Amino acid sequence: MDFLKAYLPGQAFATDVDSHLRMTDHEVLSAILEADRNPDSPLHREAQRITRREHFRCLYERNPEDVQVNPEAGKAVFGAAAVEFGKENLRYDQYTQKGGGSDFPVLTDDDRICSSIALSTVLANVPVVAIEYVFVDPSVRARAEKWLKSHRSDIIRPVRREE
Amino acid sequence: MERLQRDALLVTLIEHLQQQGSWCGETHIQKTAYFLQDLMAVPLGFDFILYKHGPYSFDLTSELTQMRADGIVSLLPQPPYGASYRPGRTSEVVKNLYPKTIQKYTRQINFIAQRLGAGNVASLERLATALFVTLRGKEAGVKARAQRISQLKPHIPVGEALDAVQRVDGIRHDSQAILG
Repeated sequence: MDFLKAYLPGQAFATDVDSHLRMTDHEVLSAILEADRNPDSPLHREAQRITRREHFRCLYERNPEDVQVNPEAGKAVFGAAAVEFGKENLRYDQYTQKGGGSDFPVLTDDDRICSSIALSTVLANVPVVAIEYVFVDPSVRARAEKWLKSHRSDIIRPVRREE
Repeated sequence: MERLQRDALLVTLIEHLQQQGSWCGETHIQKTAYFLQDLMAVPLGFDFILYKHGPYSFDLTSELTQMRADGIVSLLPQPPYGASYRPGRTSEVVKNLYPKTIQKYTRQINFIAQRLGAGNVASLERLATALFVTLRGKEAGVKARAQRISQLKPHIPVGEALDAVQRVDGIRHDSQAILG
């Protein structure tokens, strides 16, 4: 993602059909190898992450126990780690399911209309998809893991934002 | 407004609606949140459009889903109908983060909960649509607004639309005591 953002004009794939179809895997792979072989390339570091498997590694992932303490525990870890190890060495990613879930009307055999979650305990208990990760550069990974282990509870403790 | 700050207000709204005997399904939250934002000037930051059953915010639906994921609210199945929203296990954590914000908007939330909390889905749809047409439409008179509502939502008869417009005008008038 970092390589593509730096490589593509405007940090995104072109949206007109001709330009979009001209940008194939071959162009991207060729650009990665070229940047990897050229230490002076502005894309050199991003290319190395791919060619030498020096990609960002998982430092923290969403944990239900942490969320009970602080619903934004992942963001708190990312913020504190960025101060400690530099923002350039951290990446944050999160996704939560969109939409309202699985409550919809169901026509039953006796012609009544019921809620799907009233009819199905399975649908009533389908968890919301929510993921959250903090990734760290491999060069500081060991230090970051040790640091997080010893500071986790302090970092995720929610700070009252208004007195 | 920060996300958790907004969530603190939504949980407070849910609690007040419950106290007024509201079913507190998603529709109840959608319509009362619309009143809070557009009538009571609570800056929740949701984008409401006039959807099939009145003002609706896709952002708010996503926010409620996020709040479920974070345990700030939970869904309680209520057979044979749909589910009700209830404060979740982390609701107090979020409320404790923003005591000033909650205090600042409690009167507005309480006013809306008292005026709309007992309403069912159909009446809330009519009232919220009436407010939408009143605030965003070009029609000024009571009858003209009622006709516009019935035109936009043909399943709402003009007579019921007229009643909704008059009730909304009453709510708007009474809200001035809080808004100043």
